[in-house]
Amino acid sequence: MKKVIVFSSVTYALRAQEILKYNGIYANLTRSRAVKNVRGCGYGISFDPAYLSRAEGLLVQAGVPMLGSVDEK
Amino acid sequence: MIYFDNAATGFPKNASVAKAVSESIDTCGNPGRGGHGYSIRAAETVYECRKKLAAMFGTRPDLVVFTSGTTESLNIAVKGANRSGGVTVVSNLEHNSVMRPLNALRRRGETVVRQFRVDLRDDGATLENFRTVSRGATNVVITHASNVCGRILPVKDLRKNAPDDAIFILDAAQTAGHFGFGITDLGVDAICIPAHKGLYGPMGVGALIINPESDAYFETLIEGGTGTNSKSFDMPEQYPEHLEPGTQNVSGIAGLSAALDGFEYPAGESELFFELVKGLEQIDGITLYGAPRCKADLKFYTPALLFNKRGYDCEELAAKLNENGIAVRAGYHCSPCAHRALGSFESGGVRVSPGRNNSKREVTEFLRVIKTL
Repeated sequence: MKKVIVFSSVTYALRAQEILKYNGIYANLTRSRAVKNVRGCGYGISFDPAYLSRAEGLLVQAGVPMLGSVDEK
Repeated sequence: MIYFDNAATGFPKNASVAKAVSESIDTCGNPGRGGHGYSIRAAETVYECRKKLAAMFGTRPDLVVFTSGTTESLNIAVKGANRSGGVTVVSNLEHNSVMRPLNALRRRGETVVRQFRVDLRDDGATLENFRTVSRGATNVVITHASNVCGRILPVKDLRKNAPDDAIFILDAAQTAGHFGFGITDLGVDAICIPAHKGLYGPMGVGALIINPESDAYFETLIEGGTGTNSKSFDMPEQYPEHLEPGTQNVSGIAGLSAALDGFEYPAGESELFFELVKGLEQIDGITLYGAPRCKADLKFYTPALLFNKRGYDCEELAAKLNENGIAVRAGYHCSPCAHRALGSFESGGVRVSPGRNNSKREVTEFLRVIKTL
């Protein structure tokens, strides 16, 4: 199981990926069904669910707007 | 060929620029449109360039909006910031990329345009002129430096003297890449830049740089697909996609990104510019327009110099120079306001604009040819 944070644009997804990487959380850019289900087409970053809370905190702190988070197999 | 038309486009570009353009054609898909490797590669290429421009101008990557050039950036900014009943203040040195969008708004009754006179010799007088017209202004659109005579405007002080709630848009077509400046330091809401002039990137790319501390919100100029939020007929509200409908010029952006790698602001341009000024001053029959008078004035100028030679129409003179292997630009330079301000509205003029790749030897040769004509 992976956690996916969904963003409104690929720009935000790439910025989020970079911020998380800088903080030791490795995430993959994804355009999965989970992302599509949130708001039509979009991009997300998938990563180990254990990091969700920390990842969300880092992104809020950096001012990166998130549309939500979903589980993905 | 001696190339002295860098105010039109910086030339030659580094070889890495063409290489990056070519490689992107072979390796990039459509950015932000898919989850496959080609699309992701393109999105990463675009994002890398956003990061470099953001670092250069002191903003965030998501506040770098890619456009086709300064003209599109200015159209988005000028029209996107205008609200009905607006009052827009401009200088008397503006390019038509400012004046034509504004005139379109004015003809539709959507803004009133007020113009102030730039005093080429006294920034204090320029500020005084600005204050007399800027009361009640909702928007200010200012060139950072004239594309005709190179005079730099005191932007930071103009911003301080503008109404606090006025949206301040800077046309940096002639300054981006010539010297460093940050958007929050200047205090302007948006900066419009080209890739292909002082940054020596490809033509067909530019950017609208938005201040992270600004409350200004730019409405869309055109709408279309963004690859995200596709079920909605509305454009995304967030930058940059809000202002980036359609497929981006990925190859151009890749070229710009390569141009920014290891970028250094040019050190020798001012010296060459001054050599040109002093050399032309000493030639009989030459008229200079708005040029620096002494070395101390150079800090107020980017390297663009307007002149005419007695007995020649400016286009004829440029053609003669071309025959002698020297590339300059003659005419009105899309800036009738500036030519009116400089006293060359009837004649036009020859603009000579050295760049980072020019040498003192080329200046000497240029002066020799001008003397012989």
